[in-house]
Amino acid sequence: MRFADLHLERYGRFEDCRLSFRAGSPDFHMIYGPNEAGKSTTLAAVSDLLFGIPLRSSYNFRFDYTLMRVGATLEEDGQRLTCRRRKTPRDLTLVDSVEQPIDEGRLLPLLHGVTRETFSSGFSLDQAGLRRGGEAMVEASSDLGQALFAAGSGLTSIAEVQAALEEEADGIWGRRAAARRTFTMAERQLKASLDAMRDQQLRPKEWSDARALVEEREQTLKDLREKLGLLQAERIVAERLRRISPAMRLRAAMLAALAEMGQVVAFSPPEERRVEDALSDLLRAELNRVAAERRRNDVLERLKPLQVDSILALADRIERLMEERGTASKGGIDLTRLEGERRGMEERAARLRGELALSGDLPSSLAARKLRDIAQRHAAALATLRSRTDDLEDKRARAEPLRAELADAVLMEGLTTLTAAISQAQALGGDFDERCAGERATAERAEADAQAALAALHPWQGDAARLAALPMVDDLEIQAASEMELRAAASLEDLRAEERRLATELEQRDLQRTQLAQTGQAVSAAEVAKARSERDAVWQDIDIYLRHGQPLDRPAAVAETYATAMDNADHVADRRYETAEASARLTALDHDRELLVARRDAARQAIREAEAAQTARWQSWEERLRAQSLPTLAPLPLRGWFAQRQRALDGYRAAIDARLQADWSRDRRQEVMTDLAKALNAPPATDRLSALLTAADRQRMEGEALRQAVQDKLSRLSGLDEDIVRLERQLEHDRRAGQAAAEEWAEEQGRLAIRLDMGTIDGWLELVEELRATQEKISEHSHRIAGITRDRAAFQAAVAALATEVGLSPDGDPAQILDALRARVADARAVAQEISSLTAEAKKHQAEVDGAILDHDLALEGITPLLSRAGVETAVDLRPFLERSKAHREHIARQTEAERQIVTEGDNRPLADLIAEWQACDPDTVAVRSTDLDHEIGALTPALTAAADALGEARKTFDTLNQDSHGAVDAANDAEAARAEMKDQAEVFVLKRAQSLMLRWAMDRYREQRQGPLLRRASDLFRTLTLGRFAELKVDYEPATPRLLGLRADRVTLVPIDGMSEGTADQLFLALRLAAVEQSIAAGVRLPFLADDLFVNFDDERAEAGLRVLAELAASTQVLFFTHHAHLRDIGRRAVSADLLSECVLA
Amino acid sequence: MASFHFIHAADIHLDSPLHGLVRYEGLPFEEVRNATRAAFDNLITFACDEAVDFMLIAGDLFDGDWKDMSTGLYFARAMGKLAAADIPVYLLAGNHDAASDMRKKLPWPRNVQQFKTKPTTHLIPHLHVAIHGQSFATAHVTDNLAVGYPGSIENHFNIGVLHTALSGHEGHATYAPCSVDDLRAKGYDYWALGHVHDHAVHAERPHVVFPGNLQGRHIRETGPKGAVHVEVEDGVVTRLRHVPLDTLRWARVDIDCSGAQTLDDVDTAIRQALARHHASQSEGRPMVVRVVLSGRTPLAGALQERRGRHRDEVCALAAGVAPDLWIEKVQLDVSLPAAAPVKDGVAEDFMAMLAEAQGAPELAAALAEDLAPFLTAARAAGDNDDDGSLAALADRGDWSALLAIAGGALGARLAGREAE
Repeated sequence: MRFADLHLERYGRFEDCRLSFRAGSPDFHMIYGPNEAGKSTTLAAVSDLLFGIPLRSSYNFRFDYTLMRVGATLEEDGQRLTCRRRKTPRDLTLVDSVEQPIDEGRLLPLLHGVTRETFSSGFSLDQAGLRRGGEAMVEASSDLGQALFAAGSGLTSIAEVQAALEEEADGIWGRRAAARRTFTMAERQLKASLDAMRDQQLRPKEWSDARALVEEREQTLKDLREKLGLLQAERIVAERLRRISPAMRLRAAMLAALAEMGQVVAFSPPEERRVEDALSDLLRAELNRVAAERRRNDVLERLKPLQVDSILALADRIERLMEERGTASKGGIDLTRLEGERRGMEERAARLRGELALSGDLPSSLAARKLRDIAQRHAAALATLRSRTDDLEDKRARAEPLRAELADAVLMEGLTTLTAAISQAQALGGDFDERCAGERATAERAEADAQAALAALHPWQGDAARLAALPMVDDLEIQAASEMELRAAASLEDLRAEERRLATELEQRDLQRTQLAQTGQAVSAAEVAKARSERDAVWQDIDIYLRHGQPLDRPAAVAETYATAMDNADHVADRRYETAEASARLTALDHDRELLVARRDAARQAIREAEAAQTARWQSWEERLRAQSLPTLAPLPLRGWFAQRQRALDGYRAAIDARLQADWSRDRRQEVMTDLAKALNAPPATDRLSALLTAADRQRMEGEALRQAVQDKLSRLSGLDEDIVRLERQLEHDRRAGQAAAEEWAEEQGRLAIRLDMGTIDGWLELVEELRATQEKISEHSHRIAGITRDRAAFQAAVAALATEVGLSPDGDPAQILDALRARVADARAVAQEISSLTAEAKKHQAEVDGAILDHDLALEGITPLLSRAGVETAVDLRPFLERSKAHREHIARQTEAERQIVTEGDNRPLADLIAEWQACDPDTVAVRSTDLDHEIGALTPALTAAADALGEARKTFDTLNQDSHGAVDAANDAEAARAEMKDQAEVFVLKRAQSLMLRWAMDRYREQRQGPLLRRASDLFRTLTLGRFAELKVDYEPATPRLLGLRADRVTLVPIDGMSEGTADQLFLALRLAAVEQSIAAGVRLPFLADDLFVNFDDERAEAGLRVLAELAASTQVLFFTHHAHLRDIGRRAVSADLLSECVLA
Repeated sequence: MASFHFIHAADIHLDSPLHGLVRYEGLPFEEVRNATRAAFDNLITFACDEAVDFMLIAGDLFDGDWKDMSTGLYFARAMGKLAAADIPVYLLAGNHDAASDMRKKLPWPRNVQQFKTKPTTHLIPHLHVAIHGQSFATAHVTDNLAVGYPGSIENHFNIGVLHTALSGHEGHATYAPCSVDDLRAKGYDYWALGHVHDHAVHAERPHVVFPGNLQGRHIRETGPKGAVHVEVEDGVVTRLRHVPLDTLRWARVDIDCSGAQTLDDVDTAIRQALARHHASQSEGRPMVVRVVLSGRTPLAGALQERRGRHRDEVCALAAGVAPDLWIEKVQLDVSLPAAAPVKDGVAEDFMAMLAEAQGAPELAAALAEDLAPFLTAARAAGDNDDDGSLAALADRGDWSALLAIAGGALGARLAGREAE
């Protein structure tokens, strides 16, 4: 796209400023304008023209938003678009010269998808914008920058993937081992497991060596043990002899002592004990007898003077009277008290009788109770009568006003009718008004829908009844017809495609044929035939001439022609022969072509037939439909039409139903409202059922409240009337009960012959009871006084009789007599006691004397046989015999003990063998040998212990080896697991590394191939702009973010951007920008390049180079170069030949 | 002739470790470590429970290079248990045993009869059984030993015990080669062979039988493993059955991913295949499975890309199928379908460049140089027994294949198609 002209009608400071840019190559235009001339404004105007004036624009300082206009004539590929941009609140901002909106769509294709942002960063630049864009590029923060460095915006994440792959591989293995790496971990595990396996393996040699060592040590121990056995056996003999020596010597001594004692009277030890016991028993019995006789004689002496008193026979009687004496003295005291009390009571009785005025006997308790009962009944009857009379009066007083009120009460009329009307209305529901309205609306809607559905059945027309009467076409038939149609269409399409393909192929063959023919080499058979037939045609004339002599027209010419034709035929034939292969191909092509033509014609024929068949089918289908008055539609649309028809019919039926429902509701509502109005006294003026219902309900509630009040009063009055009747009946009953009690009272008084008021009966009866109690107490006292007097006389008579019996005077105080008698009895009892105890003692001592004599005799009898064996008379003479016998027996015992000891110490060998062995040896030598043996055995023991220890150790080692162990197996399995893990990790590692390297390779390659052109072009431009001071641009990928470097002409020095002068940096940025613009243009985005004083920092030479570069660019797109430097005009004229440079001035 | 029954085992390889199993969370590693012992215990228990009349072991009791005497002692103790049950054992040294110093030093119980390195015959008079055999004198016996075996003894049930690969067997060195006809020619009634780790009955009348090894130890030893129980009546084999004695079973599950649209589809297919295999092949034993994904699929790149963590995901799937189902490895034999037409655009442009990279010789050279030190370190893990592994490709220098896989994975990663 280019600008043919730019019209700043009203924009910023401009008014009606026109700039024209003539067409031509280079399309380069210098626009001069001093400072403030509006170069920046023009750039902004261009942007606003192309992309619209922004919501807030700073260029409205002279002309208001509504007046702002900027216009241009745009050209591209011969198309022109003259348009103007205005600012309106609405969208239509692009207008023509007469302010008529132009479709934005006409401008858009000219912009090639470029936005305001990309336009201003890529195509419309001032010096600051150039810098900004350049910096963004070298920092890779723009798309272009990423294209420059990272090989494409779609793959910006590749570097991350690369890093991740490196990291993942590094997590598995690295050249320097690290414990965090999984492969290394497995590797270490493998090594540890193999070490463990080696360590824990039991080597066969180790095991067999251990077993051999055990066997060897067993043999050593066995030898030592045998030697020790021999020594120990010898030592046992020596030890035995040494042990039995003392016993042997004792035995010999005992045997000698026994021989010396000779014959001895032997007593057995029990016999000896018996003699000893008998001697001591005899002595003790004699001593006992003497002592007992002495004690018996003393007692008999003390008994002689004692005598017993005869009074003891009366002791019991005296004791009895002593007991009665207490009773008699208490009786005297009681008698006096009782007589005093009886007198007092007799006086009280006389007084009571006077008060009661009783003429006869006291009334019985039964009679008294009956009197009290009658009086109580009478009093109760009177009290009830009084309270009932009060109650009756009260009820009568309350009934009277109620009766009067009821006589005046009035009830509402027509309540039942009203209630019935209300319940009918309520049955319809509270929202019946709305429902009626709703149903009406529904019905109308349904009717409208039905009508619309009917209308939708176009082209068919008619009403619902006609529609319903239409016949159906069976769906299967439609399906079949539709499928047939589809198949036919598909096959027709196939045929057409085939025809097209054949036609194309035919064209290709023709083309090939033409090409082959044009080469002039290939000759077709037809050409040969043609040449020959031409020749033959000429020959025909000659032949006739030769055969028939028919003259020829211009024979020379004929001959010439024939010669030429023959030559030609020969030539063609020769050529065909020479170019046999090409000719054959040509022939084959011709042949192919014929075949293709035939096939194409056949295809065309088939198409025609298929189309005819289709038309015929369609006509028959239409006729079939028309005959049934159905719309003439294709099968599939017909099926749709049938569905539509069904919907229309359904809609129609639904509309009828809705209408019926709405009418019924309306009638019902009217009916109910009429009933309600009739039942109401004063119906309100309303057409709403709900309002009427509310009024009716209110009236009904009032009527019901009135009726309820009357009913309440009636029921209260009837309750009161019932109470009055009941009370009157009870009053009568009470009155009769009172009367009966009064009559009974009179009768009872007559029977008891008293006259008493019924009210005072309680006091009177209390006095009667007191009198009765006093009389009973008097009689009781008299009885007790008589008893006491009788007992006293009997006691005194008994005491007098006893005194006479023992010879005392019966006169005197019976108490004193009794005391004297009791003292005598006590004395007599003491004497009798003493006699009895002395007699018992004398008997006991006599028994002791007798026992001692018996013991003596028994002891003597026990030893009589032994006395006779020893040949002595008395027991005392036995003693020397006893001692000899004891000594003899002791010698024998010691000898026996010594022999037992010999056998025991002599290892229980037979005594005779031991005696023989002892007698055979020399005791002194034995002792020495025994000591030697001890030493020898002592010396052998440590060797034995060491051998046993060694064996134990060897056995332990062997047992340990022999134990069921699977340490090595476990380690081997662990090693296998580690190997498996290593292989597993190796798989992943190899994959990751391969991926990583592959990615790096592809990235390098991509940069080289894809990013190269941009960088290369920028390098060339940079070299040009720097007049060859810099050779090219390089990208340094080593740092985290790649950076751009300039390579100096020496091709050694690399200069980073911050190391370049401002001018050089600007030239670098311009080179990058122009390379990018060229890339855009190459991609078809051809927009004008607007440069506003870009060469501020350029020296003249470089400015010229810059202008050349821009002029070069202008060969492919329009360049508008704005400047305020007059000298640039001259430079421009140098750079671009003056006649080609277009200039204008911004005024 | 008496009726009797015996058990024929071979290739016990006691305490030979299980290969290829990475130790991961949940894997019952104690069971793994103890597998060959447990299977061997099963053999001893079976023999005692069935009260067989004798046991034949046709070679390879231990791994030849295994030097832990504890293993031998364990074996000898087990033989002691058979002695207590009054079961004689006839033991033949195979190629592994010939190299085993341990076997020579073991304290064998009296019930163990070994064959000498020349043809030997052991008789069991009360059963009228003659057992002929010849132990390997060295690890590498390439002579036809069978021809030197003694002739059959009349009125006896003749058994030949031989450690051989017959006329060759994939994955097994050709030791003591011979043909079935050579064996038939001897006129024996039963040939108890060892060396080949798969159970096989090569002939009947006479029966020529490999019992296979007792316990699968790696992914090439899949399926039921055990011994052969043989019943003989009146000199005729009336029943022969393979008794599975393994405690851990290996299986290979192949899954064709060409129909899968998404990685979820692949997971579903894996889950279903695992469930199917576990139900049909585990026989209630813990099972170790190699999952092999194959087929042409656009997901190939994504599958390769998640190679590092895919096993964990498949382990989780397996755990969902059965608690005793374990994953040895997920092998990827998938490949990308022919490249789709490349659209215009930077990303597509870059992808095209990746495709180009696969054939770039300078990249192959750079990769070879880059990987060389790692491959040296990785050799400590042993040979790459799996041809499809990336390390194997690198070892072989098949850079274009490796780069094709890496390129696919990279494509998936760049396109964000790896399972997030």
